[in-house]
Amino acid sequence: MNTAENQSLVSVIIPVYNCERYLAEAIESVIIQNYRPIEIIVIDDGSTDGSADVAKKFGQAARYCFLQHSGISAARNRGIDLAHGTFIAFLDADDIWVQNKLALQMAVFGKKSDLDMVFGLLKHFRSPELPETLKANINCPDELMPGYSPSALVAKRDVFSRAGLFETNWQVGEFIDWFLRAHEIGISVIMLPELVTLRRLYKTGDKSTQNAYFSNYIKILKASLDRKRRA
Amino acid sequence: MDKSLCFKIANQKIAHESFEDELILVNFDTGAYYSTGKAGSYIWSLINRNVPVAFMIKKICARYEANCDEVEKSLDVFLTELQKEGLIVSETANRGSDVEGAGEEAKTERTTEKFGFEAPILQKYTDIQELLLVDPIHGVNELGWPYKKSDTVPDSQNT
Repeated sequence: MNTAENQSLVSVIIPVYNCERYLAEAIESVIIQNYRPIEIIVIDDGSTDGSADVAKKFGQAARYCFLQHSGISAARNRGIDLAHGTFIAFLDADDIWVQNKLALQMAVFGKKSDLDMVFGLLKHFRSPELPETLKANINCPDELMPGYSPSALVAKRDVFSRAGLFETNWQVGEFIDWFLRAHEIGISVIMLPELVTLRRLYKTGDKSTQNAYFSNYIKILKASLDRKRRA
Repeated sequence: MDKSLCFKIANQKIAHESFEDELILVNFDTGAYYSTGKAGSYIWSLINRNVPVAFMIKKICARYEANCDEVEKSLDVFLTELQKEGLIVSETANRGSDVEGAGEEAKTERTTEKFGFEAPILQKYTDIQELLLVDPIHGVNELGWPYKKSDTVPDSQNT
């Protein structure tokens, strides 16, 4: 959908599950983007805290949709389904965008018409309200990292027709699974060398979390290797 | 290679899982992942049990239809490759080494039908290296993104 200003509409999908503490800051970071036009779609994946109230306070600035608890993949897919934009972006409810994120990324699409997806750099930060003792236990890389993360992505909408939607069977690693499928069919990607997203750290992982995470990722990699071998 | 050596997985960031047809390894410190076939998977299981190299050779020769000199050479190459990739480190055999169990199993395996041996190859993939390095689980509890309300684990870390 192009507007009179000849800029493409970007749909920003924010899935949320029990993230009342950080959701407002995430939404605000989208509202203050210096790119227009945008639409914000908050998909509430069955939150039981005040996330719904936080989202609804933004009124028409952020469209709110409630989903029976189904997982983050289902929430992102629902957002894609509701989106009107020719470009899709995502933001996790606990992350934040820099103000010129969309402007930077959409400018790249303007220069390269055959490009499918743009990422940007990501910086981690410890959530400031945390007690110092917890902050000390959180490993927070200082350096900017390539943001291969939904929160740092803008994609043409048709990428999801070609690569498919997010698989809903993975507990973690659903984005890597999707990216691998997109990669396998030759979706073109650029990593912008500029900071676009701030990733909030506020929990530590433990051994059981790590083991489940590792096993899940290995299964995703195995599935990708098997697809490539069959192709 | 010093045959009295045994090996162990280098650190907790090395993940591994065996499937019917292959072993997949992931080094979450580097973002590289690897695949190796059945022989490599078997060798990895021996590494995981701290079996010394000398016993590894015996066990492989008992399990597979192979010339033991060739087994020793290919094992040396494979172990060197695993070390080079930072997946295993060497250590001297210790009390935790499953030497006796490995010896007993080797005897049993000699009486069963042997498998065909293919020298283990470590296939390395770096196509999504940076993606794997961006740790996505900063906000994930034991169950991942919580799936059911009843499964949600109370979070005692946030105040």
